[in-house]
Amino acid sequence: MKGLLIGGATVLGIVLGFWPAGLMKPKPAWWRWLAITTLAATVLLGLGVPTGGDFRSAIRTTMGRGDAAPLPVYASVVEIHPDSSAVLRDMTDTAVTVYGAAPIIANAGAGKGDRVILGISFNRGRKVFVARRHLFTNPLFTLPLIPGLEERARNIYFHVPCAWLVQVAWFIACCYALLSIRKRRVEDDVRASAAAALGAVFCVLATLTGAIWAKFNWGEFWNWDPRQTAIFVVMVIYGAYFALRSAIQNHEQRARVSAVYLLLMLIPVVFFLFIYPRMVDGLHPGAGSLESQPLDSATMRPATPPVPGRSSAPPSGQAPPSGQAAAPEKKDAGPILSSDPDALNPIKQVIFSLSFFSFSLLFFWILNVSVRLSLLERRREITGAAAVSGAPGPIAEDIVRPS
Amino acid sequence: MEFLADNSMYVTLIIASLILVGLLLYLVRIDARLRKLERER
Repeated sequence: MKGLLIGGATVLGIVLGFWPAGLMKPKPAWWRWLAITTLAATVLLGLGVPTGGDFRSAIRTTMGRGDAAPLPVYASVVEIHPDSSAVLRDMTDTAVTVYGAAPIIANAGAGKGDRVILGISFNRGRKVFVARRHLFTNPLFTLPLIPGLEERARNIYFHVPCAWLVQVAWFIACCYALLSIRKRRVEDDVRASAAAALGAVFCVLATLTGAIWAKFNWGEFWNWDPRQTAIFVVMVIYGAYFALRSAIQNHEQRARVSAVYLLLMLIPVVFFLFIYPRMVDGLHPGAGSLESQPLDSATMRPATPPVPGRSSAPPSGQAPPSGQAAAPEKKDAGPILSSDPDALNPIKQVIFSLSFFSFSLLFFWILNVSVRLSLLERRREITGAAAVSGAPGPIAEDIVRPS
Repeated sequence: MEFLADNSMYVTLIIASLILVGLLLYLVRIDARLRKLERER
């Protein structure tokens, strides 16, 4: 079900990128509206669906943090006491007395029987839960709180599709490179280079967003994690493509040489984005999953030494506590590709699929506009050159056929 | 930094807006290319 949802959304996004109108004609109005609405839905749901954990996850996450940073806890109000405390029951059926909760619940207009998300901190000295602020009353949907990731778990709706489109862009560029070599059409060269240019933009965005996320989960902006290394190498491969293109003046020669480069580099790009991060142990979820892990005989789990001082916090429900020496509990394919249906919350699966779909449409929309623009530029260049050399004008129409 | 570490929502907001800004910059570049074409006409 999960694979069907995410895979279907990904495939549908790419199919709708080419159909209707292809890359050289304007997309119809309905298509543009679909792109805008799905993108808006991704941002609204991705940022807006509240996170609500249970008391256990709140204790684990607030360890070593001050009272100023309460954690969202999703619970139903069981009882309200006159001494301003209240009994709340969380989703794991744990009932807890929370101090200071009664006035906060009353201020929000909620009462007994309502489900609320409150900002709650755990006072380690007195071993009591203290309510800090009201966040939501009776939310339609909630996302589970993942200790160590918290609200940063939402980054998967923005950072991951960017990284995915880096690969899609190179693959599309390769398809047109192949066409360009076989048919020697200007349009194919234009489409290949425009796809690569947009892929480079997403490559930079994926790297920057990944670096910021890494700062708060792994401690440093840059850790030379296998995926970080890989995206860096892919960025260099992208950069070399544009260096190559700008070095060749002759259009036909440039088209052929850069097409060959795109095809040659397809294998390294696929290797660095898909295979290498799974071969080598790393900080990203899913790292090292191709490697056979030696199992610990007592726990029947991979005996991986913990990485000191780093909380890698795989986004599964049972993530280790944030803080020191938290290694991934088990090696799997990560929350997205894992065969375990519980590895990604159903609501997250929907938003994640939506984000892949909408980012694909956005990608193809920008690609469509930049291809049309590049074709105009190319046509202008050719007519300009023809006018200077005194040759008759309509050559351009022969070379750049409006198909 | 400490504020961002404790209030993880803002990290997510920074990341989402960074993507928006990045694509906007690309849009500005495309717009500049188009304007150049229009000026030549």
